[in-house]
Amino acid sequence: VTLSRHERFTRTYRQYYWPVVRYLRRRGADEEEARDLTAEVFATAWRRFTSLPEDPLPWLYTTARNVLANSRRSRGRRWRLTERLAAHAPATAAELDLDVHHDLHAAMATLSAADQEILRLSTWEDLGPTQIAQFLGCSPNAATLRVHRARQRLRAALELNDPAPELEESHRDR
Amino acid sequence: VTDEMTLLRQANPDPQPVKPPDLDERARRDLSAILSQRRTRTAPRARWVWAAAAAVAAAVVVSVLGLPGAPQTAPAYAATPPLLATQPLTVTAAAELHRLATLAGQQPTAAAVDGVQVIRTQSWALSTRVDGQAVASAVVPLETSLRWGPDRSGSLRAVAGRTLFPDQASEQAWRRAGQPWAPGTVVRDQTYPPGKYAPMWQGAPPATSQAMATYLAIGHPISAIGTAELFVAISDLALDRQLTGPQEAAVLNVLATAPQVGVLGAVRDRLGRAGVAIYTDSDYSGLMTRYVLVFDPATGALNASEEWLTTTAGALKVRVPAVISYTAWRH
Repeated sequence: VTLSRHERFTRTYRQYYWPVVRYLRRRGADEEEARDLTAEVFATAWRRFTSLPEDPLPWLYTTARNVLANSRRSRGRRWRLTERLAAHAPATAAELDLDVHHDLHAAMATLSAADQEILRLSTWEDLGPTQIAQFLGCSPNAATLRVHRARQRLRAALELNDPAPELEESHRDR
Repeated sequence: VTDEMTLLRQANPDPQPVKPPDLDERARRDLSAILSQRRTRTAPRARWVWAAAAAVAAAVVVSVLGLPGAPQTAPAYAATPPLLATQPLTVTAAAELHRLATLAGQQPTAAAVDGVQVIRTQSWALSTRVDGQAVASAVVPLETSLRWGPDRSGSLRAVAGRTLFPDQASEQAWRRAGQPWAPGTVVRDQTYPPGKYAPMWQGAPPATSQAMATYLAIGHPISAIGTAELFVAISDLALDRQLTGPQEAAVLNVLATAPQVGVLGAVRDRLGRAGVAIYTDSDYSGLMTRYVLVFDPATGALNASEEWLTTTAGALKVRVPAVISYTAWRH
């Protein structure tokens, strides 16, 4: 049975809608913005549907990153102001709860933005090296190496004493 | 054994549920809107990136340029406006800025009438997108008019201005692409009901230089980033408010005492007006960038703000030195 383009796109949309929404929320988008930007990501996917890769997820995340960057760019200055004001507001219970991960966040903050994103993609989005390679636009070997190095840097920043696991472990694809 | 990846997994602010939910009402509505587009270039909502909000990390600019969807017929280099031609001046920045401050302080106070701010600009930025689409083959300046009042109501309208092409190939590529943002195209038309316009600064600008230095630092970490951020703050302020002569004088005096400010020379800006250009260089964005402010030599008014890449273009498809954004205020 050959599915029409509409049907195939709808399938892709159903499968990846929430992962894209979550990707955006994890990177600080509020609910409304995450939904708006997800619509934008899939509108782009629809326009380019014939040329989407077989596994579209890394492409969707790359596009999500770009639309989020665009959105931030246009409003960045204002947000920064809001952040500053928020910095003086008393912490809410939810914020205090987040503080459980304070050491981790502090360690992550010492890494480059690229390292941070690679590590988040590996853990939060559960991407394997092949998918990360697609996201980064590099070879899977290079992606594996970059994940490995990013992990080492995070370990160092966390001051964990055990040596980083061998490369093979992080090479496991999903 | 503590594993950094386990820690990171535990810190996931929005974990994947075991069974992903089906599409909700909002998701289904968006899906039908997308499918009804018939793969044309127009999205349901045009998301417009305000060129005037320029000056972000180069990483962002790079990722934006890498956006899938760039027309394949685009020339190898993106079209950028020519650099401003400068005539050297033999004054120090501090002396010139103090002179301009004195002039500004003497200007009749012709700022906002009834507190209504009207700001009209011509602007362009390499990173500007409409609905995720860039126009790389042409320089399309936007003519923007912002108006907002004390009740925070307002309107913002941006129209594509006169198109500029670096060469014939670019013009042909632009025509092949369907002449995006042809002159007169309305790229944004927005009204803000009372309370909805959010100015970057809440209170009115002060008129003394000491208070102005503190005021400019609101939302702009000048002490952390350096003088480049002061240049950005001054541009941002002028994008939101019409300054009185004394306020403009305070801005100029703050600039006069800032470190690493140089005089670029006498220029003609994008609107053909004579100006004094001052600059500071910074690689805070990731690429060495020259921040330029152009002032009216006779009144001290801020006429233009520009950003240029001076040494390398990174992954940006431009030839250095390259103008990456400009704003010219129409007073």
